[in-house]
Amino acid sequence: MGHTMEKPMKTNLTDQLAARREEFAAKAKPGWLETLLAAIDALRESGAAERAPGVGDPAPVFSLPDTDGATVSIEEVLAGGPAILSFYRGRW
Amino acid sequence: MEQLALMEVLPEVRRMGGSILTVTPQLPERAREHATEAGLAFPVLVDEGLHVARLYGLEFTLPDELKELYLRWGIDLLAENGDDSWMLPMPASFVVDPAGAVRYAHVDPDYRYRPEPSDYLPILGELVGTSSSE
Repeated sequence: MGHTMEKPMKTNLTDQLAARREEFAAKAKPGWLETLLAAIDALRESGAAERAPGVGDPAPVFSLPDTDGATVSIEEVLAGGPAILSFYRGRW
Repeated sequence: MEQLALMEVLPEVRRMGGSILTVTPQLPERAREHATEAGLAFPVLVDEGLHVARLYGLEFTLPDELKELYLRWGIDLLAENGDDSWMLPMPASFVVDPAGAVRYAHVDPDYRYRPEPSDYLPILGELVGTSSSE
Protein backbone atom coordinates (compact mmCIF):
# COMPACT_ATOMS: atom_id res chain seq x y z
CA MET A 1 0.00 0.00 0.00
CA GLY A 2 1.22 3.47 -0.85
CA HIS A 3 0.00 4.92 2.39
CA THR A 4 -1.42 3.75 5.65
CA MET A 5 -4.50 5.14 7.20
CA GLU A 6 -3.97 5.34 10.91
CA LYS A 7 -7.41 6.51 11.81
CA PRO A 8 -10.78 6.13 10.14
CA MET A 9 -11.65 9.13 7.99
CA LYS A 10 -12.88 11.94 10.17
CA THR A 11 -15.12 14.67 8.93
CA ASN A 12 -13.34 17.97 8.98
CA LEU A 13 -15.94 20.57 9.84
CA THR A 14 -13.66 23.47 8.88
CA ASP A 15 -13.34 22.09 5.33
CA GLN A 16 -17.05 21.34 5.09
CA LEU A 17 -17.90 24.89 6.10
CA ALA A 18 -15.41 26.32 3.59
CA ALA A 19 -17.05 24.23 0.86
CA ARG A 20 -20.48 25.47 1.92
CA ARG A 21 -19.36 29.10 1.78
CA GLU A 22 -17.96 28.58 -1.72
CA GLU A 23 -21.11 26.83 -2.83
CA PHE A 24 -23.20 29.72 -1.53
CA ALA A 25 -21.00 32.31 -3.26
CA ALA A 26 -21.25 30.38 -6.54
CA LYS A 27 -25.05 30.11 -6.41
CA ALA A 28 -25.88 33.48 -4.87
CA LYS A 29 -27.89 35.96 -6.90
CA PRO A 30 -26.41 39.48 -7.19
CA GLY A 31 -26.55 41.26 -3.86
CA TRP A 32 -27.12 38.20 -1.65
CA LEU A 33 -23.56 37.81 -0.47
CA GLU A 34 -23.20 41.56 0.06
CA THR A 35 -26.38 41.67 2.18
CA LEU A 36 -25.22 38.70 4.21
CA LEU A 37 -21.74 40.10 4.79
CA ALA A 38 -23.08 43.56 5.67
CA ALA A 39 -25.34 42.02 8.34
CA ILE A 40 -22.44 39.99 9.74
CA ASP A 41 -20.23 43.09 9.85
CA ALA A 42 -22.94 45.12 11.58
CA LEU A 43 -23.36 42.39 14.20
CA ARG A 44 -19.60 42.25 14.71
CA GLU A 45 -19.36 46.04 15.04
CA SER A 46 -22.21 46.10 17.56
CA GLY A 47 -19.88 44.30 19.95
CA ALA A 48 -22.62 41.76 20.71
CA ALA A 49 -20.16 38.87 20.89
CA GLU A 50 -18.39 40.52 23.82
CA ARG A 51 -21.43 40.05 26.07
CA ALA A 52 -20.83 36.31 26.15
CA PRO A 53 -18.85 34.74 28.99
CA GLY A 54 -15.14 34.32 28.27
CA VAL A 55 -12.42 32.09 29.63
CA GLY A 56 -12.38 32.23 33.44
CA ASP A 57 -15.94 33.55 33.70
CA PRO A 58 -18.62 31.47 35.38
CA ALA A 59 -20.92 29.75 32.89
CA PRO A 60 -24.50 30.92 33.60
CA VAL A 61 -26.46 28.14 35.25
CA PHE A 62 -29.64 26.90 33.56
CA SER A 63 -32.03 24.01 33.10
CA LEU A 64 -33.80 23.27 29.82
CA PRO A 65 -35.96 20.45 28.46
CA ASP A 66 -34.40 18.04 25.99
CA THR A 67 -36.30 16.91 22.89
CA ASP A 68 -38.12 14.26 24.97
CA GLY A 69 -39.23 16.89 27.47
CA ALA A 70 -36.89 15.73 30.26
CA THR A 71 -35.27 18.58 32.18
CA VAL A 72 -31.51 18.77 31.89
CA SER A 73 -29.65 20.89 34.43
CA ILE A 74 -26.16 22.03 33.57
CA GLU A 75 -25.19 21.79 37.23
CA GLU A 76 -26.12 18.10 37.29
CA VAL A 77 -24.23 17.48 34.05
CA LEU A 78 -21.12 19.23 35.41
CA ALA A 79 -21.26 17.14 38.57
CA GLY A 80 -20.29 14.24 36.30
CA GLY A 81 -17.42 16.02 34.52
CA PRO A 82 -16.65 18.82 32.07
CA ALA A 83 -19.15 19.76 29.38
CA ILE A 84 -19.03 21.07 25.84
CA LEU A 85 -21.92 23.47 25.42
CA SER A 86 -22.83 24.37 21.85
CA PHE A 87 -25.47 26.91 20.85
CA TYR A 88 -26.69 26.63 17.28
CA ARG A 89 -29.35 28.18 15.11
CA GLY A 90 -31.38 25.20 13.97
CA ARG A 91 -31.14 22.45 11.37
CA TRP A 92 -30.24 24.79 8.54
CA MET B 1 -23.33 19.89 9.93
CA GLU B 2 -21.72 20.96 13.20
CA GLN B 3 -23.97 18.54 15.09
CA LEU B 4 -22.73 15.61 13.01
CA ALA B 5 -19.13 16.67 13.55
CA LEU B 6 -19.82 16.75 17.30
CA MET B 7 -21.18 13.19 17.06
CA GLU B 8 -17.79 12.07 15.78
CA VAL B 9 -15.99 13.24 18.91
CA LEU B 10 -18.72 12.12 21.33
CA PRO B 11 -17.17 8.69 22.10
CA GLU B 12 -13.86 10.29 22.99
CA VAL B 13 -15.53 13.04 25.02
CA ARG B 14 -17.40 10.37 27.00
CA ARG B 15 -14.25 8.32 27.51
CA MET B 16 -12.77 11.38 29.18
CA GLY B 17 -15.80 11.68 31.45
CA GLY B 18 -17.21 14.67 29.60
CA SER B 19 -20.58 15.51 28.08
CA ILE B 20 -21.88 17.37 25.07
CA LEU B 21 -24.97 19.55 25.31
CA THR B 22 -26.40 21.48 22.39
CA VAL B 23 -28.96 24.28 22.62
CA THR B 24 -31.37 25.23 19.84
CA PRO B 25 -34.04 27.95 19.56
CA GLN B 26 -36.22 25.61 17.48
CA LEU B 27 -39.66 24.41 18.53
CA PRO B 28 -39.48 21.05 20.36
CA GLU B 29 -40.99 19.10 17.44
CA ARG B 30 -38.55 20.66 14.97
CA ALA B 31 -35.62 20.02 17.26
CA ARG B 32 -36.76 16.42 17.81
CA GLU B 33 -37.13 15.82 14.06
CA HIS B 34 -33.64 17.10 13.45
CA ALA B 35 -32.09 15.15 16.33
CA THR B 36 -33.73 11.93 15.15
CA GLU B 37 -32.83 12.38 11.48
CA ALA B 38 -29.24 13.21 12.32
CA GLY B 39 -29.02 10.43 14.93
CA LEU B 40 -27.80 12.79 17.64
CA ALA B 41 -26.93 10.89 20.82
CA PHE B 42 -26.23 13.90 23.03
CA PRO B 43 -29.00 16.03 24.59
CA VAL B 44 -30.45 18.66 22.28
CA LEU B 45 -31.91 21.27 24.61
CA VAL B 46 -34.91 23.26 23.54
CA ASP B 47 -34.50 26.97 24.27
CA GLU B 48 -37.87 28.38 23.26
CA GLY B 49 -37.85 32.16 23.40
CA LEU B 50 -34.03 32.10 23.50
CA HIS B 51 -33.99 32.61 27.27
CA VAL B 52 -30.75 30.74 27.82
CA ALA B 53 -29.18 32.23 24.68
CA ARG B 54 -29.96 35.64 26.22
CA LEU B 55 -28.43 34.55 29.54
CA TYR B 56 -25.24 33.83 27.58
CA GLY B 57 -25.45 37.12 25.67
CA LEU B 58 -25.88 35.44 22.29
CA GLU B 59 -29.28 36.56 21.01
CA PHE B 60 -29.69 39.06 18.21
CA THR B 61 -32.47 40.10 15.85
CA LEU B 62 -32.06 39.47 12.16
CA PRO B 63 -32.12 42.74 10.18
CA ASP B 64 -35.06 43.16 7.78
CA GLU B 65 -32.99 42.81 4.62
CA LEU B 66 -31.69 39.44 5.81
CA LYS B 67 -35.16 38.38 6.93
CA GLU B 68 -36.34 38.94 3.34
CA LEU B 69 -33.51 36.80 2.00
CA TYR B 70 -34.15 34.02 4.50
CA LEU B 71 -37.80 33.90 3.45
CA ARG B 72 -36.70 33.68 -0.20
CA TRP B 73 -34.44 30.79 0.77
CA GLY B 74 -37.38 29.04 2.43
CA ILE B 75 -36.19 29.63 5.98
CA ASP B 76 -39.12 30.80 8.06
CA LEU B 77 -38.12 31.41 11.65
CA LEU B 78 -41.76 31.71 12.67
CA ALA B 79 -42.27 28.08 11.60
CA GLU B 80 -38.90 26.92 12.98
CA ASN B 81 -38.86 28.73 16.30
CA GLY B 82 -42.54 29.41 16.91
CA ASP B 83 -42.35 33.18 17.20
CA ASP B 84 -42.08 36.09 14.84
CA SER B 85 -39.28 37.89 16.66
CA TRP B 86 -36.67 36.74 14.10
CA MET B 87 -34.20 36.35 16.91
CA LEU B 88 -31.34 33.91 16.63
CA PRO B 89 -28.40 32.99 18.82
CA MET B 90 -24.92 33.68 17.55
CA PRO B 91 -23.47 30.20 17.26
CA ALA B 92 -21.24 29.71 20.28
CA SER B 93 -19.24 26.96 21.92
CA PHE B 94 -17.99 26.72 25.47
CA VAL B 95 -16.04 24.15 27.41
CA VAL B 96 -17.13 24.34 31.04
CA ASP B 97 -15.16 22.71 33.85
CA PRO B 98 -16.87 20.80 36.67
CA ALA B 99 -16.68 23.88 38.93
CA GLY B 100 -18.76 25.79 36.37
CA ALA B 101 -15.98 27.98 34.93
CA VAL B 102 -15.58 28.58 31.21
CA ARG B 103 -12.29 27.10 29.97
CA TYR B 104 -12.82 27.72 26.27
CA ALA B 105 -15.16 30.12 24.49
CA HIS B 106 -15.84 30.69 20.81
CA VAL B 107 -18.49 33.21 19.74
CA ASP B 108 -18.45 34.41 16.15
CA PRO B 109 -20.93 36.90 14.69
CA ASP B 110 -20.12 35.17 11.38
CA TYR B 111 -22.18 31.99 11.72
CA ARG B 112 -20.40 30.45 8.73
CA TYR B 113 -17.41 29.62 10.93
CA ARG B 114 -17.43 27.09 13.79
CA PRO B 115 -14.67 25.56 15.89
CA GLU B 116 -13.35 22.15 14.86
CA PRO B 117 -14.81 19.70 17.42
CA SER B 118 -11.52 17.80 17.77
CA ASP B 119 -10.03 21.02 19.21
CA TYR B 120 -12.08 20.49 22.37
CA LEU B 121 -10.37 17.21 23.16
CA PRO B 122 -7.02 18.55 24.43
CA ILE B 123 -8.88 21.05 26.62
CA LEU B 124 -10.99 18.27 28.14
CA GLY B 125 -7.88 16.15 28.50
CA GLU B 126 -6.20 18.90 30.49
CA LEU B 127 -9.23 19.27 32.76
CA VAL B 128 -9.54 15.58 33.36
CA GLY B 129 -5.78 15.13 33.77
CA THR B 130 -5.59 17.89 36.36
CA SER B 131 -8.37 16.51 38.49
CA SER B 132 -7.26 12.87 38.34
CA SER B 133 -3.51 13.33 38.91
CA GLU B 134 -3.82 15.37 42.08
